[in-house]
Amino acid sequence: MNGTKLLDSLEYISPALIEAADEPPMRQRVIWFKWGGLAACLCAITAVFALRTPQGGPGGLVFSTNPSASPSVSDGPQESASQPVDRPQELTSDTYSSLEELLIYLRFHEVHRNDQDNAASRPKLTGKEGAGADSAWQAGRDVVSYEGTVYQIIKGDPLYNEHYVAIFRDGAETGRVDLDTPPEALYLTDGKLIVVGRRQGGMEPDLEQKDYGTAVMVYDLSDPRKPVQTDVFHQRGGWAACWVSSGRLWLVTLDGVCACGYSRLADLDDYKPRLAHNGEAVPWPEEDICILGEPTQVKYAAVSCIDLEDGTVLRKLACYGDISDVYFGEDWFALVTQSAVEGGAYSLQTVYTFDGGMSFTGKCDMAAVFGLEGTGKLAKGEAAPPEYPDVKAVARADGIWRVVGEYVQNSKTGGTKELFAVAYDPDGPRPITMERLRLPVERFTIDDVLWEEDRTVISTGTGQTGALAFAEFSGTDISLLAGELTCDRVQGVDGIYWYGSPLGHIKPFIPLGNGLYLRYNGTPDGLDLYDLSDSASPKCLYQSSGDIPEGARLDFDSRVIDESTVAVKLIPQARANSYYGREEVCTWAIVTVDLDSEGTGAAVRFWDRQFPVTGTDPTDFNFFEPSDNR
Amino acid sequence: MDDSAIIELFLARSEQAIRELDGKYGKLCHSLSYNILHSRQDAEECVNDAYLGTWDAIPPARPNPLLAFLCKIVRNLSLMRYHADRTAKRGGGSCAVALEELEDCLASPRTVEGDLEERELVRLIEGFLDTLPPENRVLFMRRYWFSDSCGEVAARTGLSEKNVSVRLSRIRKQLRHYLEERGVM
Repeated sequence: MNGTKLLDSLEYISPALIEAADEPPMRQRVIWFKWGGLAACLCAITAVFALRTPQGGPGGLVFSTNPSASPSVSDGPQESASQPVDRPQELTSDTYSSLEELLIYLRFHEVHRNDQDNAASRPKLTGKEGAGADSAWQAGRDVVSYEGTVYQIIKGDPLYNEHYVAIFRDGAETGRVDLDTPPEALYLTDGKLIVVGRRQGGMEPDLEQKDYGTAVMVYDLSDPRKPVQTDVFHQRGGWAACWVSSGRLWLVTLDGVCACGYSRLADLDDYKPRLAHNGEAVPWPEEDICILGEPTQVKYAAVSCIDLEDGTVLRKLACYGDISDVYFGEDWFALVTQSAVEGGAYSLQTVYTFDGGMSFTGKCDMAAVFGLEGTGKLAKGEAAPPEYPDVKAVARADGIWRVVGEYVQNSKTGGTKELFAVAYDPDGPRPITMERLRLPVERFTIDDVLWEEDRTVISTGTGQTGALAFAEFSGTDISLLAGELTCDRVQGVDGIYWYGSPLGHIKPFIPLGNGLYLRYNGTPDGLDLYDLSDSASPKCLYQSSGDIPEGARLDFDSRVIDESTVAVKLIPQARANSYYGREEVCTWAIVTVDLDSEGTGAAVRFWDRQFPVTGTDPTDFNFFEPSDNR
Repeated sequence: MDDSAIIELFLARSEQAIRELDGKYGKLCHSLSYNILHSRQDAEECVNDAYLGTWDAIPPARPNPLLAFLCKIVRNLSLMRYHADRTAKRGGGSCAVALEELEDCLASPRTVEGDLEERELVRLIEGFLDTLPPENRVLFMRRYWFSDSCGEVAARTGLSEKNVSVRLSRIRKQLRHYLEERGVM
């Protein structure tokens, strides 16, 4: 313990104390009164003097015309001339040295994702989410059950360094799986428990830490009460995506120079993919490395495919490029480069696509799709071109890639946006089809994209108002529709903001099947029911009237039990904004949906009884016996 | 413009949000960063990076209070920059002096050796601050959170610089005693 640690620890001090310390002190007011009268007299005398004497004339007050001679109020603190500070340049290759520079950047690329914080960079909605399907294979869970045994990540205060997965039988904790890496998500497949965690030093990723990376621990559940570790994989880089499909685990990590220019290590040779299996390095030869486009940064995505049965690394590929987003499905993945303004040049996005064998299947150059210059030089002070596409989601169905995004057209007065959808068939006679649609609002943001088999539901929003749009796909043909139905805007439900929350924010939609969706509504807090089976006339069958039990809020997890029953996680209102929280404060609640006979209305009901969250997997809920309400 | 209106601008992805944020809290943020870095250029960059961090965080975050949220980002970025800089030079900013003062407060590194986690320490410090009169609490926060110099704290509170220095010295002693009583030292 030293002063540095103490000073650093103050980071977590209560915001109320910070606010209180910034309030104007009472004592200052006394001083003001003491000198205020005198100052007022002085001002009055000065004003009279100024009015009587023409400015700039003989004997008038002369002000310096040199701005540097008279510091303005907005100049902020002045740097001490006696203590010049030389900033290490290698650490700040692309910081924003002025507010204007930052605004120019944002104008070009509205949503900047800071990849330095890889811990926070999660892939956007990825893959296809079939109606009612359990998407745990995509994002993992914090609780899974196997043969009556429940395994759960207990989200305690990470500073206690309690790295373990708790094992429950009949609601009682019977053991733990101790870990040396904080667990982030659990996957379950073929009698195997897979725990994924980030290996880093503390609250923030220590980018200089040698074993900084992502850890995958595989346990055999032959005896469900006593999981036995069989394999440990460690891959360098921040966790970008992980999914389990057909007994295979896919892991994608991102490493390298971040978008803000901070380098993890000084030596570029260290920016090479590294994978270790049970402590032994797995060779990563040159043939498992590719370069996408003409990267401006040393940055790569490392993709590994591991056979969970015997721990074999089936395939791996490291793709160097200006990669900003990763999208994936069961047997494919796509890497999207960022739109960027770097060192007097700009570039637009490209979508690089790969199949399950990690073979490159083609690229969708967004500049070519929209007839724009993909890259270009910028003179000093010149802003980047005002029009550019911004990819928001990628998926693949029947060998055809689908891309949805915003086409941004900036202007000095704000500009407009259009919704766009692209179908890309690398092997087809007409490889690329694109449709654009202007929505009723000029500036909107795509909040979420839900992939169905032949359709995409796009949740958009501006301010507090949300709206739905639809992209219908048939082969490479696209039809875009803007729904007239407006709703409360939902970009994700605030849960316990906990470091490394395994599931992140909940998606606004909970698919029930047959075109029915529950959708979160924040005002009042509850769940609305939508019938989206007909894109041309989406209907709201039920609107929440504040159904959440008093004093509670929805947390970030939900589980579809069947087409009319959903388990949602609730958190006490008082803890909803707490950065840290013990999982025990949450409960699972049951929501049932009852459609009326004509299918034009419905009732959405929260069950009276709630289930404790600890040691309880919602899929095991007994709906017929009363909960013990522990 | 009040904080909620600024947050609405962020939610609407309006650049005006950053201008309003800068207009309302820019001076405070610059001051906070400058007190740590003692470099106007670095402070400017840290504050702008903090604005970008805020832009990235909202949505989904709706920080309340906005001031504390922003200041924490500024402080974190500034401390990161400070630590990076310190490898190349010994800093002369008030942050370094504040650090040295707190080193005295926790004089025996061997006794703790990292056993106490930061979070617990914060709880203890918050408990300690609860025991202080409001005025002394502000002195502590201004000096060790905002990294204000004793002169700046004095100007803010209307106390003399000497008085601030003496009070802070007593607070540090009290803190040390408080931590010793709880087995931290």
